[in-house]
Amino acid sequence: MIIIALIIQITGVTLLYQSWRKPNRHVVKNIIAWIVIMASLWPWQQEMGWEYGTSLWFLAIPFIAWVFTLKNREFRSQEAPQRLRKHIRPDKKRFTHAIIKVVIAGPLALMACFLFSSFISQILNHSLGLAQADHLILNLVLLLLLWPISIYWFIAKRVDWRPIAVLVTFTLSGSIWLYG
Amino acid sequence: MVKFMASLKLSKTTVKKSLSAHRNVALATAGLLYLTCLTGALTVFFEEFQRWEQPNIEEYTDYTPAQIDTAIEEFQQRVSSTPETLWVVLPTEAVPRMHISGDGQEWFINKDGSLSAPPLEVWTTMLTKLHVQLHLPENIGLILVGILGVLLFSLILSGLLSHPSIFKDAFRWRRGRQVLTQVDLHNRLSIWALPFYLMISFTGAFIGLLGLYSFFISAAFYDNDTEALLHDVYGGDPEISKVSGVLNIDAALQNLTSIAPQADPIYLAIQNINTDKQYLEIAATLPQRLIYSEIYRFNADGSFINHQQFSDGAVGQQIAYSVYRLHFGHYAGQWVKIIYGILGLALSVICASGINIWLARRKHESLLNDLWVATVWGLPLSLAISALLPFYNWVPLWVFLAAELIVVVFALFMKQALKTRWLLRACLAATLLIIVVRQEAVYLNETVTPMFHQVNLTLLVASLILIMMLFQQRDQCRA
Repeated sequence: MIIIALIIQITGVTLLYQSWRKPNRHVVKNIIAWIVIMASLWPWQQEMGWEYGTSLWFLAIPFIAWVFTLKNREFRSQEAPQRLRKHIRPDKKRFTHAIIKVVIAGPLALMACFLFSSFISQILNHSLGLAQADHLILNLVLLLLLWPISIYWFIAKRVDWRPIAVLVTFTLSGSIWLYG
Repeated sequence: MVKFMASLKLSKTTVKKSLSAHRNVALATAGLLYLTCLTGALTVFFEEFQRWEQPNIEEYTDYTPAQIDTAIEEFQQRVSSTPETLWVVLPTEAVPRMHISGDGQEWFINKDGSLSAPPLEVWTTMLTKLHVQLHLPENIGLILVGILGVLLFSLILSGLLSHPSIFKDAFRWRRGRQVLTQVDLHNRLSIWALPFYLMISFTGAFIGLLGLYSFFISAAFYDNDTEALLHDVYGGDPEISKVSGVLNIDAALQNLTSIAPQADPIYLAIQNINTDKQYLEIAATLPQRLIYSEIYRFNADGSFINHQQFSDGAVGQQIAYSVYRLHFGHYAGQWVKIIYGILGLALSVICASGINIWLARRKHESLLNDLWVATVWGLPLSLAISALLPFYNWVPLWVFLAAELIVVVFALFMKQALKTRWLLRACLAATLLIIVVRQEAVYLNETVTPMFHQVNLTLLVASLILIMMLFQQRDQCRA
């Protein structure tokens, strides 16, 4: 069954590669390729069970795709330009700005995300009647999804009113719900 | 699909801001992230390294209750006070060794039940501690590594949003040009193993930040009672229904076979040993399940009490107990470990190539070029040196730190990043060869585990690959 799963998965990635190579990449061929790749999940799960099968399906894809990437490699030599050595002094203004961002995206965002994820998981707990373990793990999972997203957002944005407003809303909504 | 992707096209401003966020977070965390990824890729094989470090311990996969009884008896004779919990780790296909531990004391168990040598705590322990807690105090180190997991997750997100053509170029690899080679290497390694990197960063953050989260949650909902919180997630101690002074491991193992025939025991924990409240916990893996283990509880006489419901309890409980094997790659056999090792190394290459792109796009060179070479090639070299010198009773952590310091000073003194890189690779190849020769020479006349030769062979192959790379790039040494 594993061999069948691998054959289907290789076929899917081959189709994807062929559709990719064509100058006008056709949407239907591309979708068929992805459907074939998705279909290989079934024999993986039949042989290895739902948990092992899904993880092995994910693990196999990069190795098949990298073979096609290697096959498609091109070589064009170019001399690296000569570069001078320079001693650059750190910019104090940028450094201060970076510190502010670290504080916002670090402890402040963590607290805001913790309070907001607690707020969301409490609402779900009240409406769905979750088991206590489910409630606690849902809270942690939400925190671990919200925090990286907010780090990206706070670092990408300038220090302006919008991220701060979201931060304050997250913190207040969670605080009022929990302690209010 | 292409048209669909095109309809989702990101604005130029979003791409620019995402790229800026990706670069800033990467520059701030590159060194630590690279160290964590590299040590993580090696830590997947910690069991193999432990067997390689101590290759002459008796190995077997079958055991008897009588053998366990003898080991417990001898353990109690050796220690001054009886520990509250006594652990007997059973042999498995992955690690065919049995050991007993309690209150920080530990010995391997021979096939006849007598105690053998204590496990060495040298290089492998140093390596795993470096990955898990960066050799900082346990809580601080774990939290810091957990935060690195969060930052890696954030980097993946900003990476996706800052590279609008990452799907369009999914099979492209342009070699030969300094920046493009690094860009394509970085993007191709990233995109195809994206689910793995998301999973590894998420589970790493989960494991690392669980302690901090418990602290927050117990303060918010449990009146600072962390024990009560852990009770809700992982379950509490059982009620002992039968008091018995004699521990009947044989009966417990037989009962386990009838209760859960598919369960494969991995360790026993004897709680409150030699007291009226003593009971036995048998942790066992279940086929095709990612949970670390199910725990079956037995009275001292071997009668069944209950199981902890990691396999069939609340979904949250099952998730909480599944992240460990998923992060370590310790499931579904040796091949998964090898895949995890390769993907872990790929993640290290992504870290290195990301900074290489930034360095190559600058119009000048500076100390940062030298420092980055000292990090990327100095860390594996320092790890290799620290694996070699402990055999002469040197403390591996200090050897590792001293070696890395010397490499940094050397790189700053050389001021030629390419030449330094070539020389560090040469040193790494030589060190790996010396390790193999030294290990084989020391254990030449002893009976050793086959794993010992397999690890040596892997190190030899790694050394030969490096030598080939050195030979191809020999002009860099003359530069």
